[in-house]
Amino acid sequence: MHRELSKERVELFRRNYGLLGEEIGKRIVGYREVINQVLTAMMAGGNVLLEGVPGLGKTLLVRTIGEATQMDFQRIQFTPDLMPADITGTNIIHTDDKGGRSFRFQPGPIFSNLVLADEINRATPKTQSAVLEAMQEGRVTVGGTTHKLPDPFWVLATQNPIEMEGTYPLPEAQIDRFIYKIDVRPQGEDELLGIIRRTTGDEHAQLKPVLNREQIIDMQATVRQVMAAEFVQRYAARIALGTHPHSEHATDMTRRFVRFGVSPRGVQSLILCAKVRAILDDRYTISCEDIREVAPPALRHRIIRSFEAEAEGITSDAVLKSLLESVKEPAAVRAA
Amino acid sequence: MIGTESAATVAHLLAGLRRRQRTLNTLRWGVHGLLIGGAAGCLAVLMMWLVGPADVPQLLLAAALTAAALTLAGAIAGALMPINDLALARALDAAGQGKDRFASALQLMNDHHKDRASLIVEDALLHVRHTPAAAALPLRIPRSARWLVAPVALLAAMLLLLPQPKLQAAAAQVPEISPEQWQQIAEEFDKELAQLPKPLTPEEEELQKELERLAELLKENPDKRDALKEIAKLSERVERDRREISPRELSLKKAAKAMSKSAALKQFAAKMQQGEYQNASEELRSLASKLNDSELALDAEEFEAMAQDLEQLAKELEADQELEQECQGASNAASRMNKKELAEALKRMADQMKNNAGKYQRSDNMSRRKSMLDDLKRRMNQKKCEGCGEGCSECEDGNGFCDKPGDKPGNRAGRGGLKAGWGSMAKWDGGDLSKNDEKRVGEMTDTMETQGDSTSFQVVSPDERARSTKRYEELFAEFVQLAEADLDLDSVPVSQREYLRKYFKSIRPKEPAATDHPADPAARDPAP
Repeated sequence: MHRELSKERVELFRRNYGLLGEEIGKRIVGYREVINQVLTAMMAGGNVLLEGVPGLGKTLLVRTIGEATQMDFQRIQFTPDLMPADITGTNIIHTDDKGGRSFRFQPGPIFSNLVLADEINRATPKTQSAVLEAMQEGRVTVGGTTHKLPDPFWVLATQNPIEMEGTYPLPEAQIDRFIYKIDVRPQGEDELLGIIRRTTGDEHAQLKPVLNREQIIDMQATVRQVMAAEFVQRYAARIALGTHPHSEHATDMTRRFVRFGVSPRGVQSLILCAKVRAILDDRYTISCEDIREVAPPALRHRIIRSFEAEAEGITSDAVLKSLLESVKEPAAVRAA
Repeated sequence: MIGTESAATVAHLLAGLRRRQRTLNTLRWGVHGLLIGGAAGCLAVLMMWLVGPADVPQLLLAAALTAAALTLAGAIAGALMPINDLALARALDAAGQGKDRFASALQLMNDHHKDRASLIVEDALLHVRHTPAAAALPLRIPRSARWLVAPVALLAAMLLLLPQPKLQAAAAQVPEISPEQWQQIAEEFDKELAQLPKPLTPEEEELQKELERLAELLKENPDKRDALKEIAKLSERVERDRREISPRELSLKKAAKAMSKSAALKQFAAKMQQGEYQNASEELRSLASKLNDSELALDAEEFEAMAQDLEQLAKELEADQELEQECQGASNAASRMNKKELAEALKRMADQMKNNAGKYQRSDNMSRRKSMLDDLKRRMNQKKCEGCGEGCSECEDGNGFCDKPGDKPGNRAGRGGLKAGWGSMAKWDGGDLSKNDEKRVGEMTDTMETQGDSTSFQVVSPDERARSTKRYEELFAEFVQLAEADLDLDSVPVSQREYLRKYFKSIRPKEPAATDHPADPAARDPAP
């Protein structure tokens, strides 16, 4: 049983969050916004899909988070020949001291607190779906036996958007299970200079774990204690509904360029990530502004664009932008 | 539940916000009402203008009342509008950088997580407690206010453009006297002018020419004001000439009407009434001769009748003291039944009349001209009869003028009449006032004097004694001419005409004494 929400708990959350961010920053140059989004998703208890071209530091970022949190960390390199059992584990024949043989479950790499699913779109759908139950339910079933995954459990997946040949794009059902989809973009000149300095010399940054498992679980519990007023929830619901082409809140862009809107998981993601932002802003309740801030990474991968949108190069972010500009906040302050 | 103090603070903040919002709603909807009222006022003005003539103050009043009524209605509607507490709370958050803290607290203060609710409310109050309601709900001019200029401009344009042809043209464009009336007036004046006796003196000839010029002017359909001004100028000239003949009005014709009893004086009276003063003198002389020669036998009654007639005549001849004395002497002789004395007195009276016959003639001529000018002025002030409804002869024969005095209900026709002075009084003969006249009297007594257009000038004399170089009588005459020209215009209220006439009467110069000499500076009257 966690303690009740209080000023001290919020202060502690902010301090721990700051410590983790600083530690990650020792190795990762730049990417403050990406780091914040990843940590926000983690504190909200969600899985993250990092999308970006190779060599931007996605894998390094996830690895660094693992090192800084003193939690079990596993990296799975997804390849076309990767099998589900390679991820979840399998029953193997075990011979005891007396020569007796029996099947014994050998946990796969997914049995870890932090799993890096590198280039997840290179594995076959069969293998990808093996991760599905783990991401949503926090458990895996092998040979009729269900095995609970450790708590906390995160999947941080990466995918390359350009080398599409020989890849298997993630199905909507699976991609919906990521709380955030973060676009990792190339950095600027100054950040590249920092990367050069840190990675081409003979000195390597040594990280130390600043948060343990219990602390992170406590932080996640704190997030859940943050409250959302009815008008903010209504605003989030209007945004989610606005992504549906036939909704009353839909914009012209939505009606034209969206085939399917976001699922209820999208609203849950909005609220949970907004709560993290609220705590970081020393608040106990979320605001409409928080919803607007978290909407792009939380909803962009859940919007299924139409063929027309793809043909005209209309991104989900463009649709979301028009939606956020048009959806009215409940009881909004109107200018006279 | 949250603490009592926090709850009270939240309630206090909300109450202040509600008051502020209600005030703003009142103002905002008042402005909306004013805008709608302005448009409705324009519509009302337009409708009034279309329905019938109305003057500008009436139209303005209607527009103002409409706008005020709808403004009030808008303000009341604004004051009664429902207020959303959540919107007020969000406005307070926006002003106090609360980031939805207070609005969330308002919705979550009764949450079952009491500790969290309390924490949230305290945190919200910490951020917005000192934010004034005025900052959260600032007074802004509604966007619709920029359209307020539209009804104002529209109203001004309507008042400037629309009413003019309908409301003001009646006075500005329609002349008081139509060309047909001018023609009739000029013809009648020509007739009267032709019937005037020939001028006896150069002054009369000059006056005659001026009257002829006036006749020409009348044929040119002049402005009524110009014509009245010219008439006033001529009237003054006639009056001045008449005074030069005799300081007091001398009319033997009028005096002769007093003789009606004596048969012996019948011929004499008839000649006098005809203005044949030489012949009248001869009649008296003949009568005196007959008395001396005892050709005429008079009994006591005839003596008494002659005495009374001559007595009456003497009373009427106050303007000619010499003739009056002779006439009185004859009356005395008749009353004593002394034929000889009567004959002598009549002979002296005949001589006196013969000597002054020219003077009497000229005086009569002047009176006739004065009367002719008065008739002309009266005729100009008559209105065409549009059917007085009283069956007057003009209604029936339709010659254009109504001879019924006083105002007629409904058509304003018939003011003035054939007798001078009618139309300037509510009831000329002192009889009972009609209902319409009673109203008119009330307006006359309640008339307020206001400052109107005026012209003033100062006559500066080069004389060291600073005396006017212009005689007061001349100055007065000029002023009277100008005033008289305006006084008979329709635009001057009847009550004001009488008022101004009284004023001019009060400053009228005194009759010059016999010893006064016009050239004597000392005799000049200072301005009143």
